[in-house]
Amino acid sequence: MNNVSTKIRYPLLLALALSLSFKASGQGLINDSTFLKAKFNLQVKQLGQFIDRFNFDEIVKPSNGSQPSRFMNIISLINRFDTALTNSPTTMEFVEFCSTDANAVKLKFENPNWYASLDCDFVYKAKEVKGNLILRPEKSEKGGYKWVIAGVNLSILNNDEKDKKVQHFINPMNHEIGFSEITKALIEGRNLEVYSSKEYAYDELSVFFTYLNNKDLVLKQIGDIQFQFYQVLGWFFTVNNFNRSDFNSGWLMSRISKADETLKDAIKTNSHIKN
Amino acid sequence: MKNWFCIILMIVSLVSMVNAQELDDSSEGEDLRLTVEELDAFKQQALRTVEDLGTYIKIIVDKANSLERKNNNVQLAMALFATDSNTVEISSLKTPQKYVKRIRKYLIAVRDLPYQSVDITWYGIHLSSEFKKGPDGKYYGTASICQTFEATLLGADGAKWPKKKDTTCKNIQLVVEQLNCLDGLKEKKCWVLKLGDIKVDEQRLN
Repeated sequence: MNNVSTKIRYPLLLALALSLSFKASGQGLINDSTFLKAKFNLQVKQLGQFIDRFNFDEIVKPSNGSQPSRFMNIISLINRFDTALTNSPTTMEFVEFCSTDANAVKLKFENPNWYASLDCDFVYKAKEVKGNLILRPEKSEKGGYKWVIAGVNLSILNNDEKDKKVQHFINPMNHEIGFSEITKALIEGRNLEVYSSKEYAYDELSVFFTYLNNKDLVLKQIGDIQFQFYQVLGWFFTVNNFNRSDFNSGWLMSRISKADETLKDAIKTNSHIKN
Repeated sequence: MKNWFCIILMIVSLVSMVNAQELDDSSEGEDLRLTVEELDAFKQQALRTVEDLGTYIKIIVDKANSLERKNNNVQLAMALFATDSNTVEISSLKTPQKYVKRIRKYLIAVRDLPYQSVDITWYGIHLSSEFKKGPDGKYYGTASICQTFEATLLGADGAKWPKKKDTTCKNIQLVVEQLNCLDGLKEKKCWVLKLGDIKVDEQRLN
């Protein structure tokens, strides 16, 4: 297939597929169908349900009687209100890649290559600050799993002052007078990292925990949550929760992009994820 | 009265027990990958437990009931939860601010609401297909449940106000723990299902 026909066919196919309504067969309805009940059935209510449907472990039946397929299952997991996403040939390429049996794409909770990014409101010195907490599941030494904090993105933790403050240093002969400059520096107590060795590595997560332990920083509330998946070879995608009056609601894919391992590492670094 | 209360507490605990023998926890030695039958059993169990919670809330809210009866039902509701530190988080469509409270405080706040009576109608339940083992050896799952809530408000003058109605979906953490329990005189392993933290989202209907 050449590029031109691909570009025309993909958005049309996707629009057609997304215009179909779906009927989930996973666990059935308790009572007769009404809009709310039907919505409940189709909505992706839990991230685990997103994974089940993505892996075709829970089958979503198209209501027009056409044969259920993994392709249609994954289509139903795309945020159809985002036309840039639904019209992108990349999106269709991703769906085809994931629904091709030979590629054996399966999302797994146990695969550590996925993260939750939590929008958080904090209070720091009586001022509200917004930031992101990054969590990932980790196998416990005693067995079982737990979510652990893998990174934090918070403006007050940014540490780009070290190189700018070259005028602050302890002079090479200061040892002769009892390190008087270090006394002044520590009493002044600002940007003390400039006095550290070049081997010193600033760790924002450690500073974050110290602030929290000292109650200098307090979590006010968690806002939106986004899940970032790096598990599919050559691809990266995110999943957000869409609360709306539509069958296409709940946990849905909000961004899909091609990403080799180098790009994935760059995205992780940008998201302040520590491997 | 105390005896009656203890009997009800015992019944609630017994209702929460699911026979362990038939459950397979062999999936990589870590997780409960439930079969359709097991999932159905847990689903029914979770639904019953959540319905019990709804029943208690109705009694707690109803102005016709005595304070003593309401408080007893707060205790009964608390017995459905894994710990006293479990919380309920409520998000509204009107404000990004979230309301988070310990369950007991939430139930007491509900007790003091100026509602004459409430109707709670559940319209769906979905249970997570897997229960993940935590480092504490307990298994954790999630139930998604949606409900419509209709309350008759009582004004200060005693007049009934128009009904308050909302539709919410809840994700409820389920905690399953294997314990020794008595079957007659014989001791056997039982799975005890308790409720954990609750997250309530008001549903957009237009």
